[in-house]
Amino acid sequence: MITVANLEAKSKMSPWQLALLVAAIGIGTEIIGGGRALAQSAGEYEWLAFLLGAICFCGAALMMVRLAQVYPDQDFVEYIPKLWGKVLGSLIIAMLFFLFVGYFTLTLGVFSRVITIFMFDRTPPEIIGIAMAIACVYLALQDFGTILRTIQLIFLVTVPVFFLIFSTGVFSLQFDNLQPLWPQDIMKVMKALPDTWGAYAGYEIILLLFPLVYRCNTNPNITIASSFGCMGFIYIVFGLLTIGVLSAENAQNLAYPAMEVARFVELPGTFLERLETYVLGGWIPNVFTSLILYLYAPVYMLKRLSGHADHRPWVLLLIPWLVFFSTFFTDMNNVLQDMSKIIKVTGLVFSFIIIPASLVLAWFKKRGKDHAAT
Amino acid sequence: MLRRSKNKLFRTKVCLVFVLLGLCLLVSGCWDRRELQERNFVLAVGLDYANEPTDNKEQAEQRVETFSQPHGRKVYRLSLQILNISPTGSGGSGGGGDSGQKGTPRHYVISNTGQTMFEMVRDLSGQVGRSLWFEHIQTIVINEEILKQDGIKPIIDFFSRDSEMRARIRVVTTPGEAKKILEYKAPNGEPSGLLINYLLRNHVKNAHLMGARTDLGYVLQYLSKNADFVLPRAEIGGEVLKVSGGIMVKKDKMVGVMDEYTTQGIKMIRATEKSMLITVPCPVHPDNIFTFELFQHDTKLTPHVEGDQIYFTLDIYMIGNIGELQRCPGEGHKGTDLEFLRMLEVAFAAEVERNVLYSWKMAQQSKADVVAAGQALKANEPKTWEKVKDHWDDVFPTTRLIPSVNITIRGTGERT
Repeated sequence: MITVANLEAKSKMSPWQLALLVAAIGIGTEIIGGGRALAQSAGEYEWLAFLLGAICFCGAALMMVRLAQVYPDQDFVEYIPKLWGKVLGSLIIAMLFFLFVGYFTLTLGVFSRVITIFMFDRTPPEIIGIAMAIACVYLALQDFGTILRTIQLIFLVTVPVFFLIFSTGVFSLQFDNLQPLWPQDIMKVMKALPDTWGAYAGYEIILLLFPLVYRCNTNPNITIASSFGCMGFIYIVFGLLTIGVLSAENAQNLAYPAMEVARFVELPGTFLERLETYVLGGWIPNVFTSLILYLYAPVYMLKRLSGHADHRPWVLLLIPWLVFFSTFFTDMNNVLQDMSKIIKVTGLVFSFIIIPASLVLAWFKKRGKDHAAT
Repeated sequence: MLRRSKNKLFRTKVCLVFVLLGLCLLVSGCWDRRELQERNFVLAVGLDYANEPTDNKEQAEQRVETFSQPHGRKVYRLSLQILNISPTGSGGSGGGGDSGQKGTPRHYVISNTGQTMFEMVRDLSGQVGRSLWFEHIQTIVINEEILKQDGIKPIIDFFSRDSEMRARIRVVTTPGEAKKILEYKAPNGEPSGLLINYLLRNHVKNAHLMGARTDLGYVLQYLSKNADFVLPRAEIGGEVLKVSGGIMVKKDKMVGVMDEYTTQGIKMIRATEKSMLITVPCPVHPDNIFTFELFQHDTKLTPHVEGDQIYFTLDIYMIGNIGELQRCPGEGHKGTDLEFLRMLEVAFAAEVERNVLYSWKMAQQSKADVVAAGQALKANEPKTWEKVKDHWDDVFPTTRLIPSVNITIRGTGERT
């Protein structure tokens, strides 16, 4: 008997692998690039904002899972026009496409600037952006199975390393900075919730990849919730350390508070110092995994919309534009800020208006069908 | 046929040569690398006011070292202590003091006058052959006149903005010229920037050193929080350089000087001490002093609000040893005498109470909350803090401290 590999099965994944992808896409730039905005809006209660954010956005992700479960063999691009009609459906698809394209450009823009500031101060950010984009293209040109396994490997190796290095900030933690631990005005924290969105964003990929998940005994709701639990834990520790080490007032004045936390660390009795370089070493692969998925998602949508069997030409067609938008504006900092605001609003509208509305619509349609059948 | 095959082989070889040449471009290493010996490591920075020159030599030096400014005035003098790691400057201590094997100094000081730190630093490149490198800067020494008049904010921004700087740079003040501290020749030839950094690490044992939470990172934190803080103080007298005591900074301006006793008390209130010595006179023979060595402590500053009154309780529990008993006349006191030890515990506790009350009073006199009482109020009584935070400067001097100290003598050393 000749045994051959089941190449079809390579593109399939388990619910836990989907959860890993959701965590991999979430843990990315925000851990270095974010922090300041949240310190401004949530102050000492950054950790609480991250906790509530995790619960809130996990709810949105679970709604997406529910929606995908209503159409188990179809992806978002297929069933949305059936739900909303051709025009509205196309608009919603365009919105999701814009979201992923926006994530990619924003992430690449922030990444190239951080690396320029902290690692290669004489290398233009454009060069760093292009180098990263080339690496992303290389992996995005592989089949989904390869992409999935590469992300899996990188995530499992680098996230613990990054977390461990960043956790050394505990040596400089001043508990005074975190007090009072519970807010007098919880509304202040609630108002800061939208600012935590960037930390968890990217979970919209569930809508596209859910049909690739094996239907096995594992409940995808549990795996996705676990994924948010993992992200939430990392971000809560990040929030506690950022504010505990730097204080809320100081973090508001820093461009990249997380880097300052690492810079504060002085490991007693070791020769290791300037830990920000090591933090960056752990951070770069995490950004890479996020970028890959941000790139793969719009490419996958283009492939499905065009009816092509191969996603690769779309990678090559899309990437020059993405790199251009993420690096080549002269007033890039302003562009990134504006871009970030627009994407945040779009993402929140998508998660908390369009998805719940789609879910309700899908339930109604299903009920109507069931009713007609009986 | 053979000829065609040879041509093909030739073409392949040519292609291979080009590919290999192309690969050379990729393995050429880091394009913006700079070797270690091509850098000038800055070890310390000194900041003074740019005073008028006193003689012709100084006048000539100042004219040459400075630059023409399009904006601003010659406000500050920035001095940099630079480590010389070139082969002629780095070997041994043959020349003694701060000299290398061939008599070239191991470290030297350059300075410039201007208004912005960055302009002065960049212009200083005109005095050194290699680029200035701030990644290993150890200490910033600031003249106290600047802190009294301009405050720390105008001079610290450069050090907070540049990514080469570290959070762990020691910030030290001096009543004299900061440049002189940088030029100080330590007996072992060690650059003073390094010396100050190392000696401030001794704050864990020396209660006179205000070494905890006074690094650049913390200073920037205090400034962001608009909080009052303390900085260690360095002084030169004759051939001696010493760091002890400190200064009180209110918001960003210096408002007072702390002697060693005040420093010790503030460290006790803020619980930043690890070990310290507490001395009391013998109740029977006051000329003789007994010394307690602190090993371990548990300190808690708690605010209390009663109506409009805010007061603080300070609970200190200390464990330690008898470090030294000056022998009293006659048989003297014995460490094995439990009654004597209980009496000592009470005496040491009373001394700690006296010390913390004195330091609290000194801070109140300067109207500088360097004991972090506001922080304790914010943490424990947030509602009250919201009411008083805007006029805390007026409230703090009216607050009362009620210390409660408990001391346990665990041992008496190797003698009874």
